[in-house]
Amino acid sequence: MSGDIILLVEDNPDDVELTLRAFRKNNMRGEIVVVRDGAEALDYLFAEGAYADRNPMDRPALVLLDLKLPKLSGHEVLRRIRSDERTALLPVVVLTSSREDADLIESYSGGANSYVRKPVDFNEFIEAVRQVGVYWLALNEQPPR
Amino acid sequence: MNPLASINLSTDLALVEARGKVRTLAEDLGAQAVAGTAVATIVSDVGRRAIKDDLPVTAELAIEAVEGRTIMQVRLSGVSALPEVEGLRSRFGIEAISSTAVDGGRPSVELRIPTSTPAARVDEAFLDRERARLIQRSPGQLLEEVQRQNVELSSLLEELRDTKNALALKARELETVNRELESFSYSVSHDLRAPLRAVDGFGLALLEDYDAALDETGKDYLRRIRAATARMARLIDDLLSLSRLTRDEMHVGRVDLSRLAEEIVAELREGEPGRNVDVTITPGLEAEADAALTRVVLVNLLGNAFKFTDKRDPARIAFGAETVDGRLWYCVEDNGAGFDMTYADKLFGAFQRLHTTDEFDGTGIGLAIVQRAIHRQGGEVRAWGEIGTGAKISFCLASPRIGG
Repeated sequence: MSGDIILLVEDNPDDVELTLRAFRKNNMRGEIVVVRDGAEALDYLFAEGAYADRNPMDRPALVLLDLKLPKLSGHEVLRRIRSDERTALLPVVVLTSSREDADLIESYSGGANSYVRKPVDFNEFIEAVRQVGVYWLALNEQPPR
Repeated sequence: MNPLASINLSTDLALVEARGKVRTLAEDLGAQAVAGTAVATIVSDVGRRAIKDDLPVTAELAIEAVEGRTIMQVRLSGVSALPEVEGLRSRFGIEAISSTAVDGGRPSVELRIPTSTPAARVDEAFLDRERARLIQRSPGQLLEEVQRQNVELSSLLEELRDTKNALALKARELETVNRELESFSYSVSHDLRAPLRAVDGFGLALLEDYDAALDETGKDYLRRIRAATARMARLIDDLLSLSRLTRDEMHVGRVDLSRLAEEIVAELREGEPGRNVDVTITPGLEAEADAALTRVVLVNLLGNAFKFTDKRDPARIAFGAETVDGRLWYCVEDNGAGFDMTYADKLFGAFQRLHTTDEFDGTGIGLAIVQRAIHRQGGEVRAWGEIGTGAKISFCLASPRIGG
């Protein structure tokens, strides 16, 4: 699992720092790539724009996707991931503050694999990140690449 | 015969006039209402035939005294026979007397209608008054009346159109407000949480990573910051549930309140297994209600009853119903801390609390949620309490006007 890449799509620098801290606290291995908006997320995944010299076959093991993002929203990013055959099977976990039914419904119908609401309590947040990591990076069998 | 009124039945307006005059006179003289209507109908039928066949027919109205009683007369000249008069005598005591043409005049039928007016009351003044009454039923007056009513009708129509436009505008405004409310809730849910998470997360990071650099007071401050953050997070969640209560669609159906209460009490008992709580639930209480809203009501009321009896052994909680003022009120009663009735009106306000958080935990949203869930279903809620004795919250679901 050491070579695993986790793509964190998150615009809030505090949340980025806290998520990275949660990963450290849980001793999660692997590389965490942070992108700050929806457009950058797609550039990374499809090796375009600033990521043009990346090998597009080198796909992350997991995408942690915030919903409220500048430029392209999380829902839009999810739709684009699912509609491209290169990323159609990529595990995507929505990691958001929202618990609105509309977001849950749109995420699941858009093909999200999980929906995790970020708790305010940081200990709970660490636990949520740990469980997401354990499940998606260790327990879950990855789709064939 | 000295007629009070004479009408040529030659136009539609004349028919309306004749009809009106017959009915007015019959009514004024105290003839049976159905008799007046029957004669008025005969007159307009005869008139309609006359107009169709282009024959001159006149209706004359008069009064005659017979044996102390007043007889109302309707003479139709230009008519020799009336098929309609069959049965009039037996039903209303109306006589029909046909006369053949005399001296080159026209044949006629006279209808004689008994009335309740004593002949002694019919003097010149009475006849003058009656003439004046009948003139009001003349075509000119009728036209004026119709025109006046037309003006009234068109102004009413205009008002209706204005009201309709105003309603459509209000509906659009409401839609906008609802959309704004939704985006506001979304923003509260998402945007207010993120900074809180940062405050809590970095507060904890300080406690963990800079333990040596902080003295006990510093650590205590940080713990207070984190506790306040947790409390604010709860307030945000509560505020969201309150707004969701108004936004979600209602589905009214049969709800078994007793069973619902049993389920909720079982959950509450599971949460506090060590307590001695004596719960009485009246079986078979049902209501036409929205299941989700009703659950919210009972969860909060029974939850409160559990919370405010935590110093009682045994705690007593009852769910039942009683009829007050002809309406069925469901009630949750407990022997807990109670409250001062002086502040009863504050009880249902959002974030209003009558106890400190040290005494009883909570944000003060519970009863505000209860009230909103009940009001949305057209119901009412009342509270009774006494410090140290207990509290009783009663609610009814639909107001009697709805579906009543």
